[in-house]
Amino acid sequence: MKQKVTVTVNGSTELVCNKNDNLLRVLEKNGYEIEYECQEGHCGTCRTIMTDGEVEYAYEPVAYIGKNEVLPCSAIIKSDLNLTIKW
Amino acid sequence: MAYSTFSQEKNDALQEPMFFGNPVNVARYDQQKFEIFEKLIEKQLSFFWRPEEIDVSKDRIDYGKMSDHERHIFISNLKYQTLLDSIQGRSPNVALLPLVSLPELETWIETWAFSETIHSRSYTHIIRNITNDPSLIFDDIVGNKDIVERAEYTSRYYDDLINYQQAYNLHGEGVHKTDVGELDINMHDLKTKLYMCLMSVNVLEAIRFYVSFACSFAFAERGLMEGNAKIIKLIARDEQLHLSSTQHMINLIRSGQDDPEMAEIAEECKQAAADMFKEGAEQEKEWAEYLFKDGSMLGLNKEILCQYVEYITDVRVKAIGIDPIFNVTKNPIPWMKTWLASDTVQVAPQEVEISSYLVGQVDSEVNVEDLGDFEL
Ligand code: FES
Ligand SMILES: [Fe+2]
Ligand SMILES: [Fe+2]
Repeated sequence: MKQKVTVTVNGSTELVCNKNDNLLRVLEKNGYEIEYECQEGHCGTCRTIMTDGEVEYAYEPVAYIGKNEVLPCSAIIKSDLNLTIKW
Repeated sequence: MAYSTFSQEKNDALQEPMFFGNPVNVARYDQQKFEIFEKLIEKQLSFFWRPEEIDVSKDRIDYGKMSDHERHIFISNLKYQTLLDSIQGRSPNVALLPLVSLPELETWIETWAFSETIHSRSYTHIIRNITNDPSLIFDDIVGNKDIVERAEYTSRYYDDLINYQQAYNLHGEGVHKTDVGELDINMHDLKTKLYMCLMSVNVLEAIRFYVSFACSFAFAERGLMEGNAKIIKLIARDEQLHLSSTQHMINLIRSGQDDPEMAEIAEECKQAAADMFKEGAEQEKEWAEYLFKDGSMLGLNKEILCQYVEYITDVRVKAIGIDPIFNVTKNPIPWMKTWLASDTVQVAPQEVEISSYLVGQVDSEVNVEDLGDFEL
């Protein structure tokens, strides 16, 4: 059985997915158009605000990640997450 | 403080700022003050590619069939990129190496500039293939007003920094007569010039190539000039890395993790930096206008391209703490994504276990077979 986790967007919308899912795919599947380019953690285009939660990276990203930010393209979801998506 | 290629002053690089501390003496990578530059070096090395490995022979036929205005678009972009990469292949070395104080940053700068020389070499590869007389194209670059104007905007900040930095290295602080006039050299101005130079390079890496990229990919979307597009795809991947590196430098400075005086300068320059991005975006929009002056190309026109410039400008400024300038929130050219994605990425990573999701990222060889059946 895969473990379920919840990605909360903007404090209201809750997306239920599997632990270890790729965050970008989860968001896309749910209709969020996250902008991306490299999909590999080196361009930073997909940078998104994450106020809470834990992810791991498939490749160690070389793009700049600020405090409370995540790179969904290469983030593997490890716990419930709280995201702020402005657009 | 004269620059020396071997500073004999014993120093602990872990305590140095990125710039304006002691010159680097021993190139050592067992320890880093800012590990990110070591990672960028590794990544850039893993991206290594050679232009000759990409077969551009079919492009010659495509080019032969193109209309005049499409040739204008294609060749003008090549010329512009050629000039920008000529500048980028030398300037980070000339301007930044004499100022740098961390071994990992020094080597990153050299690795970065080297990768720009590969871009330059690839333009020769492309141009040689489509024409029997490359000089016709190369010789026109420096005389082309539309190209020179925009390249000059970038080189100006480099040159300004270089002039000050050289006077400082020769004479130290104070007022000095130089070939470029009387210069009042003081550390605060020097650091400001460095910051503005980093910002202008950041603008270059962030937006300046993207109008040209979009045109190359638009041709390839129609099955034209696909060899060229494969090369541009590899260039774009390198540029993403260069962009990340300038964003890291700027953000390390802004955050105060590096030199506190530089952090203050970053704050002072905040508006100037935003203005610079705006100006850069306007220039790229003018470029789109110049490209399409005799007609658009299938799949792209001036309006879409200008919106795209505004859209990526907003994405880029947000990365360094500047508020969006144009408020364009939707990517008007969605297919660009496909071209800007790394080849190593699998389609649906969530469907596979994590161990298999880690695809060979240190695949430093790009061979034509790998690229050949790559479908977009
Ligand atoms: S798309 Fe490049 S870092 Fe996520
Ligand atoms: Fe380049
Ligand atoms: Fe570059």
